[in-house]
Amino acid sequence: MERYSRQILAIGVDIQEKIQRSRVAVIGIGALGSRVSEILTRMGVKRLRFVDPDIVEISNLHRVSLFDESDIGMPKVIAATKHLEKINSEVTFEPIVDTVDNISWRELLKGIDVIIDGLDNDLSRSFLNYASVHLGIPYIYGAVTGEYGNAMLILPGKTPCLACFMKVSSTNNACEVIGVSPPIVETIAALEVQLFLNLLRGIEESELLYVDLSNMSLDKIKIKRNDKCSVCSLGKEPSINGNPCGVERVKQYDGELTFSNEYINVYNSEKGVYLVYKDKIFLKKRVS
Amino acid sequence: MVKVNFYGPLKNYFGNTAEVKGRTLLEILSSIDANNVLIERKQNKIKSGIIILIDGMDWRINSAINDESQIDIIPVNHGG
Repeated sequence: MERYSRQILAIGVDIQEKIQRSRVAVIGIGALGSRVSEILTRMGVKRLRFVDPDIVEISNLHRVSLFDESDIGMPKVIAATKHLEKINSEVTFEPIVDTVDNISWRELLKGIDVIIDGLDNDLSRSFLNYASVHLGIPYIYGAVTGEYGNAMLILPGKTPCLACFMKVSSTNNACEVIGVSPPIVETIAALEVQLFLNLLRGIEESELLYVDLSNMSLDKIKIKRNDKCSVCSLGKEPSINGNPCGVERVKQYDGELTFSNEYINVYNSEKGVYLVYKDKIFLKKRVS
Repeated sequence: MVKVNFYGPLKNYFGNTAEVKGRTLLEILSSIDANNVLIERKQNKIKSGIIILIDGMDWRINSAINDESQIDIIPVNHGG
């Protein structure tokens, strides 16, 4: 326990024991997800499952503290595991190359106690939210844009779910390449982990936390459950169709081979970028 | 008067809060949105990508507004 002695002084032995029994899934291991994963690894969770279909690119490095230049072209989940294993060998890591959608959500979240959001698009979030509600697994939502970000604890059946107040936008402006300032990533990752600690303490308050770093403000916005919510009241699964952006599971690919390594072949086509793994293919859609 | 709270980049356009008269959401937003930040004028509808809560409830569910109402207008963050 010497490894955790300083944090035990702050949070107590009982919470530390709960951390060390926790099986956490971090979905999306970009800037937010990799930072959350690093903190949870250092704090000593039992099991950490990462899910992400993408590879590390040079444009990630300004804000993704876990990755370095030697990781470029590697699947993010593999690169993350490589770094995190060196930080804490007591944690069991489960890297999974996949996306959360109507096919995968159930299998991806099997045996998980808490879901933490590191996603970069609202379509995948809508499936994650649905999975959380359907399986009864607490879900810690987090997202960033520019110097702004939000986080919220979602407890199925007790608090509002994401679909109570957020609709997946079907317009292209929801999928433009957005700017992100590194400090907001650190801030929201920290808040997501704090919500996890508060959950372990039994604090079930759920407000939308809105951080505006340019104004140094943190607002707590109260949201009510929506008794007509398509997900947590009516139980409807989100639709995969009609969304112009994000990563989609596909069966075939075309285009020109632009990158290849032991894990993946990457093809560039008019529709976008195909990530071709041995047993799965994903299309990162191009925004028109 | 209805109190409208703005968050994130919307504060640059509207300040932190506004006190507005009006009976419907569209009427209230129209009266303060001279630069068409919130409203698609051609279609006279609220733009996507914004969470709007009326007294803590999604505006698509709870559209009832009275003088005591509070409206929160929150830009959606997408990235990770």
